[in-house]
Amino acid sequence: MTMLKQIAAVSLLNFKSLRARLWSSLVIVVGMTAVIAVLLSMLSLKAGLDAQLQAGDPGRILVLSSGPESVFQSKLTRDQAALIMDAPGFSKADDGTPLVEGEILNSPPASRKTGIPTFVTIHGFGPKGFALRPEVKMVSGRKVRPGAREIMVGQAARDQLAGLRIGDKVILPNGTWPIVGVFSAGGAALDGEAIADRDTLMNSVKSVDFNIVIGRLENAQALDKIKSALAANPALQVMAERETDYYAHINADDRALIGAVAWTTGAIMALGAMFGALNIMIGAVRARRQEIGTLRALGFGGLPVAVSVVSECLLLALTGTLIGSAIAWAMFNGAQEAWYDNLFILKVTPGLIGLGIALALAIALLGSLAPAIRAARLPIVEALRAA
Amino acid sequence: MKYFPLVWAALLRKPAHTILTLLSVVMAFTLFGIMIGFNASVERIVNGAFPERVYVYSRFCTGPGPNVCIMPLAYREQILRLPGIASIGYRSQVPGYYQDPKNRAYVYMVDEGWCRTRPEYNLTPARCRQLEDSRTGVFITRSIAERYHLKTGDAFPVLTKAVTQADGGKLWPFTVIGILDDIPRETRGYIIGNYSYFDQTQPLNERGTLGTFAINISVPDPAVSAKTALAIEALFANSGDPVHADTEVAEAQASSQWAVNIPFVTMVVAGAGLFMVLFLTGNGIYQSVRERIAEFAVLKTLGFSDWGVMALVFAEAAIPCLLGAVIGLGLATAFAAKVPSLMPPSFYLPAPYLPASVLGVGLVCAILVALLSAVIPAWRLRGLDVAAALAGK
Repeated sequence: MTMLKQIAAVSLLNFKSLRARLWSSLVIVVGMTAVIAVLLSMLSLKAGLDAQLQAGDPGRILVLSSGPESVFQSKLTRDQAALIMDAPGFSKADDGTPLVEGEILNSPPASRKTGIPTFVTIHGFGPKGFALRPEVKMVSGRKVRPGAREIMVGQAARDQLAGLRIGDKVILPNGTWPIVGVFSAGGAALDGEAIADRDTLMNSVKSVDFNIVIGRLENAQALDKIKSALAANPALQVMAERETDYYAHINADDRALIGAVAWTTGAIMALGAMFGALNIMIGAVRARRQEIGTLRALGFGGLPVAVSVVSECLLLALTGTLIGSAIAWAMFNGAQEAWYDNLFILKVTPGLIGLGIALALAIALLGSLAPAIRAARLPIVEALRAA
Repeated sequence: MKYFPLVWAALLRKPAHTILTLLSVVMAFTLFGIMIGFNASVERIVNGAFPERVYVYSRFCTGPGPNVCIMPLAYREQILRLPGIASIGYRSQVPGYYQDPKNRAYVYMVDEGWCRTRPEYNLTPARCRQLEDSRTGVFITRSIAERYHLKTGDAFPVLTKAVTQADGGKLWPFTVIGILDDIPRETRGYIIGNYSYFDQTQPLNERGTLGTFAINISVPDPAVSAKTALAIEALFANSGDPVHADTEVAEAQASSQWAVNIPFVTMVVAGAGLFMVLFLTGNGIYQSVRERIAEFAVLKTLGFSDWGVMALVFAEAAIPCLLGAVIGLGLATAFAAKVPSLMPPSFYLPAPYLPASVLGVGLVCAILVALLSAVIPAWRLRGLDVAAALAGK
């Protein structure tokens, strides 16, 4: 109990005297602010991409022709699509038919609002397109009508790409298609893309084949059933996977890279900040020698002195971390971002801020432990003599 | 020279402080070097873009993948009739791998015009003739040859994941006919094959089509290139296969911001690191001067000028900054050499580019950090009241 009282007394005394070392204390605060602001800003890219993946629907599967890695290169004839749609395991639509159909994709050129050229992916929805994707909700305007040359765009596409508001026109092979509606797909990749009527789009781009077959699973185990049915059919060379898995593996390398870049940068800066904290804490102990000597002469133990050194560093590092997190949050949380053609929203999540706090604690401990031990072992006479 | 022992003594007064400051500066400049290196390598690609070049693609391809955007070869004659076209070449590609799916092999299948239109690929007329004379021959670059231990005459079979030939074939039995120098824009090397061989393997209804036209116009001016690009788009706007044309300059600028805005990110991160050490060194030098006021008073009494004393303070700040910058930039250079092997194959970010000019920028920044961190304490010493300082007031 007395030990705790001593720790509280010495730490409080120390916090009160911090003002005398304001500038050197600020070094730790500024250092941690820089480390955390940079690290969290970079990781907000990855957190945003992860959130986009989590917004996907694991109850949906894609069937691609085997070989190509992307839906754009996949090609399925109508005959193949019919065979795939016969597989057991798809859930039923309102009319009792299986909830599965072929789709086509097309990517005409577009440009970001910054002028950077890119393209916008248009999904050709068949009659069951909306039933397959119940998360698609209209934000404004109306849905595309079957047979009409019309387009609806996701809200991220509308916000980040030029010329994609309701009433604007998209140039496609046989004329210009007006945009009639804006939808939300709940934060999934589709938010950065567009939807048109499948058969009209196929006609327009002169394609007789689908790119993919998309279906809804009747239950969690149905994927295996579908896979084995597809594998058993010698007329099919296809692969089926959950839509969420598809999106996860097409940008797995990129997400890993973002993490690696963020952590390499963060680690170098954190090392710099750690050396800085150590530097400052050694100076702080030196500045407090007389105070420490006096306390020790009064009968205070070494531990409360050591704790006061560590807690000072922790307090400063945490202050920096909170400022850094606030900067990253204010600048990037909810900001629109484009990673190649993928449009998404950056996220500074509570998890990331927690990570920042953990890192701050680690740096503060590493930066203050040695000076704290030195402070605790300071011979009283020598400490008092040092004026 | 008489200053040196004084500066040295100041630095050794608190050796732990000096060493820790140095380590922080090393870290900041390692990061700074990596960041300005990335920025410089992207800038090099943007600045290295040929102002006279235009590329043409199919406008409505089914996405960002290879072999899905094809145009009729017959467009070549129509484009050549436009004014100011100096040369035109075309290219398709075989996207595959060598031996293991991890070893990506993306083979450009080109014609003779492409060799002339893109001279930076080191395809001399003689090499181009060699390419045309050997059906399955390919040129590879030195980095690829070293990676897979290949030499001229070796077989270089490339497998594709999807069917890429009319007869259902996925195997391309290439042979290495020569090894070329690497170029900065192809960060993983490049492979060049023969377009006519590619064309012969295609299904009948796809023969005579290609992926990209590369065009040189006779005036090296991005504005003229942009006009030509628009003229080419207009030429085929009402045809069954409309096209999309871009200038090389526009493409290069876009590529630096295509995934993330690399110039912006690198500058912010480099700046954050420097700001962090500026605070540290500034505080260190401020403390050091404050604790040694009497020492400076003695120096002034002995006849040191204001400027001499200020130079001492500046030197005390500059030594850890410059030494730290040299070590840090050295570490960044060592790291840059490792980057190509760390980068995933799907990402074409080039390695940090750190020539003397870029390293020089780093050293100038180190001097600036030293100057900024020393300026306040040095300035205060100018008006130093010697008597009061010596009395410890």
